[in-house]
Formats: sequence, structure tokens, C-alpha cells
Amino acid sequence: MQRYALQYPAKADVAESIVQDFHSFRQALNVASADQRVLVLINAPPTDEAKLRESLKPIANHANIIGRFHFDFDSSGAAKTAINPFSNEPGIAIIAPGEFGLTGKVIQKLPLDASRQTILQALESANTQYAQSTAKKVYSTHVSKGRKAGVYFEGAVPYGEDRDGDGQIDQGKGRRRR
Amino acid sequence: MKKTPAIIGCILATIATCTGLSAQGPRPDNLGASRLDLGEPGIAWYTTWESGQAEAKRSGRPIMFVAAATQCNGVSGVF
Repeated sequence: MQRYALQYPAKADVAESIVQDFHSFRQALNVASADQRVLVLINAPPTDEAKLRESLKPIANHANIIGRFHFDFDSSGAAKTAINPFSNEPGIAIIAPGEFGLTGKVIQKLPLDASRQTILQALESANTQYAQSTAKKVYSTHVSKGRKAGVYFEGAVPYGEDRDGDGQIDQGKGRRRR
Repeated sequence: MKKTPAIIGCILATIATCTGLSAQGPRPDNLGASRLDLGEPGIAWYTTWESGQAEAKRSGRPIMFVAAATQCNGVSGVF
């Protein structure tokens, strides 16, 4: 990667990089849980969203923030059944994802017009709090625990593996059925 | 203007395989914990193709494309 990266030096200021977004809040929460990162949910009126995508760039790309959080823009209210406490009022919700990415706990909520310094401080504090209070996942233990708890994340694509490399999900011996 | 050589990471977490695309990938029992400590910075992924492509065009950097699943046999919250 380093070799290729050196061949393509950035032609634009990386501090102005586009702020990340997801297809859905459901996906954002699950990815944040899988990565064990705090999720930043920006709930803004459609008329303000473009402006926020710009104003948040220096924050999302700040050295203390980049790579430590996930960002999602969603004003659909999709978080209603997942996060606690939920409020569909516009704002910036800093969310600790639950163990299986199906729920989340709001650590702090800030107004959309909070200062850059206020947001940075809140994010850094949330990151420290989350890291200190969360156990690192072990893949096999997590999957085993989830199976026993009946966790099932419905996806659009059939689950399974193509371990024989034929381009199809394996159906034979060893294939777990639900 | 700060110009840092870097590859844009673009991950699409919609593929439903459990352990990646390799036909001979590891079994879940072989996988442990991430080597990255919680709270430490990892790759700043773009999680939609459109945003990854837009940032690649903006900055002139190549895309490292990774397809991954945030579930294993339906158990979510894990890559």
C-alpha cells in the first residue's frame, strides 16, 4: 500500500476530505459496532445537510478524530427503535454502538450549531469513555454468544460461504442452517 | 496545503460472506481479536461507493476496495 500511495500523492488538501456517510443508519450502527468505534449521527434538516457536510470536514479530518469514529447523516428517524434515548430533534448524536450493532446508547447530543471546539472535545471524551468501558471483541466468542442469544441480522444477500470457490454459497456438509 | 500520500479505503459492508471472498479463508474459530486497541485510529473508510469514488476523484488518490460483511451467519456486530 505504501508503494502505491507514494505513486499517487494527494492532489488536494486531505483536511478537506469528504465526510463519510452510510446507506442507512442500520448499516452505520452495525459497522460502528463491528469496528468498535463511536458513531456520530448527524440529524439535520435537508436544507442544512450540505452545509454541515462542509462545516464538519475540519472535525472529521482532525488528527484526533479521523479513523476513530464513523459518521452517518440520517434524518429519517431510522434510529428510533435502536438508540436510547432517542429524539428526532436535529442535532449531532454521539453514540456508543451496542455489542451486536442492533442498539446504541447516546453518550451526548449536541446542537447542529455547536462550535468546532465543543464538538471536538465531546468526541474525544466519548472516544476515551467508550474505549475504557468496552471490552475488545474476540471473533469466535462474539459469534458463539450471538448464536446462543438468537441474534440475527437480516440482510439482502443470502448468508453463507463459498469455500469451494465455485461462485455459489456452499450448501453441503458443514454449512450451518438456521 | 497538506499533501499526504495515502490510499482511500472504501469498504462496502453488504457482502454476505462470513470470512471474506477467499475460498480458503480462515474459520471463525481461527479468528481472534483485532490488533488495534479500542479508541486508536484505524482506516478512515468510505462506506458507500459513491463517496469513496468522489473522494478519490477530489484528491487524486487510488481506491483500496474491500468487500466485507458485518455479520457471520446473521450474527451482527463483527467483521
